Amino acid sequence: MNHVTAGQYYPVDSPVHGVDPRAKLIALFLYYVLLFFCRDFYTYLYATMLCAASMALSKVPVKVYFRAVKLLLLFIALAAVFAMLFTTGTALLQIGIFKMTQEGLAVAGRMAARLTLILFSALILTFTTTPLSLTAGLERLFTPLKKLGAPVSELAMMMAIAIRFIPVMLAEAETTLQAQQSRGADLYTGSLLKRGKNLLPLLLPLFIGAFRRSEELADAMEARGYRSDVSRTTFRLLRYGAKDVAVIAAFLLFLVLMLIYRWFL
Amino acid sequence: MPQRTVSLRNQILCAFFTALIAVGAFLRVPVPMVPFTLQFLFTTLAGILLGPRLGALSVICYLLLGLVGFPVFAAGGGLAYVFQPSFGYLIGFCLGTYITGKIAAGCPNPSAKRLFAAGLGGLLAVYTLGMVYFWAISRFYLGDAITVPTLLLYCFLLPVPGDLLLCVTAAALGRRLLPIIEQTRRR
Repeated sequence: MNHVTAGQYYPVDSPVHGVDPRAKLIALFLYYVLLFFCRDFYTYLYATMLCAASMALSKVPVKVYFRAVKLLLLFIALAAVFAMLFTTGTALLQIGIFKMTQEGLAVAGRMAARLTLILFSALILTFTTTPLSLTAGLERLFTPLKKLGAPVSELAMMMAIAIRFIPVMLAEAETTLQAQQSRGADLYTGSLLKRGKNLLPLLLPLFIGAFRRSEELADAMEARGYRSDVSRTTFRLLRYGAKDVAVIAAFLLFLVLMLIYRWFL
Repeated sequence: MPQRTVSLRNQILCAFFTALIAVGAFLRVPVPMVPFTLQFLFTTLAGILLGPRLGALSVICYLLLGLVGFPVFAAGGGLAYVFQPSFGYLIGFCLGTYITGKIAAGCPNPSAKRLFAAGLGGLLAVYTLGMVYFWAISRFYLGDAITVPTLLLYCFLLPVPGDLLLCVTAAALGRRLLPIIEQTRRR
């Protein structure tokens, strides 16, 4: 459970770390649009190069990236194998009822490449940006939605609180589990119904603890004059610099190049 | 449109439910065949205890957290999760919690039966959205046509018994916790 407490942020000093979170979110979105237009080998090569270049710029060791995706790459490989087996077309190789087709290979390859690139590009964002600055970035990006009545700053505040208390609640769940097990609670044997019933003594204290903590936090915040009905100022201001504009412009350019290739070449 | 504000106390309570839902993704009950988390139990309880609007808000907050990249989903997190076929279940949680909340809040002191029915309503929403999304992502994004019988087997028949059981647990827990949360909120 420790990986949750640590989060995914990888603290080094790199050009990517320094970019405004909003610029990174927009760039990632543009990259996903670009990926959507990938069809042949050259377009995928292009997308892979962009991703690899950003990874190199992030100065996060490649080892760390691969450690984070190990399990997910396995899922992707499995999905690709399934796609390959269930696509009909010209057979290349047949073993029993399993047929490997040309079309199947192409589908599987494209699928695996796209999912892997999505995975790595998203990791660049989360490795180079702290969850709190990401929340701040999201809040600013979605500020226009406030006009439509969406509780944007409330959501940002809630996300920040949840981030702070997830490790606390996890630890509490673990403690309660151990406490109940030491009293003889058994979650691992018996019928399903019995196991479901045995969950109650674990979950009741967890929820009651959460209610109590939330009351305490509300009291503490109100005592310090926190109000959610007025707009607040922030200590760390987000400002777009030349670098951030350059990042967004670059990714727009990458996307336009891709569209030109797809439609004119 | 007027801004409908959420009071500070409710915001914080929602945030704690968000944290609990995240914890639910990590609490795995060892069951043969399918990985089975307590997540559905926690989202259902959010609907029962917080009501439709606040319950759904806490699930939305959870989804946003995961999408931003905080590893709170069962298999990690990050924007890329949108392209996972199973993301539909997460969207389903949002609607399901709202429906559960609506049914549960239908009368002032809901019986265990009513809470169970509320859970079932939510379950239906979760699975409907989950399966449609699974099919659509497989078909249109991954280019991998999945047949309806396979879909029904892996996305409904195998996981549903566990979640039915969680509906029972949620109803039992809801009966015990509702008076406590009423008391805390009145203070």
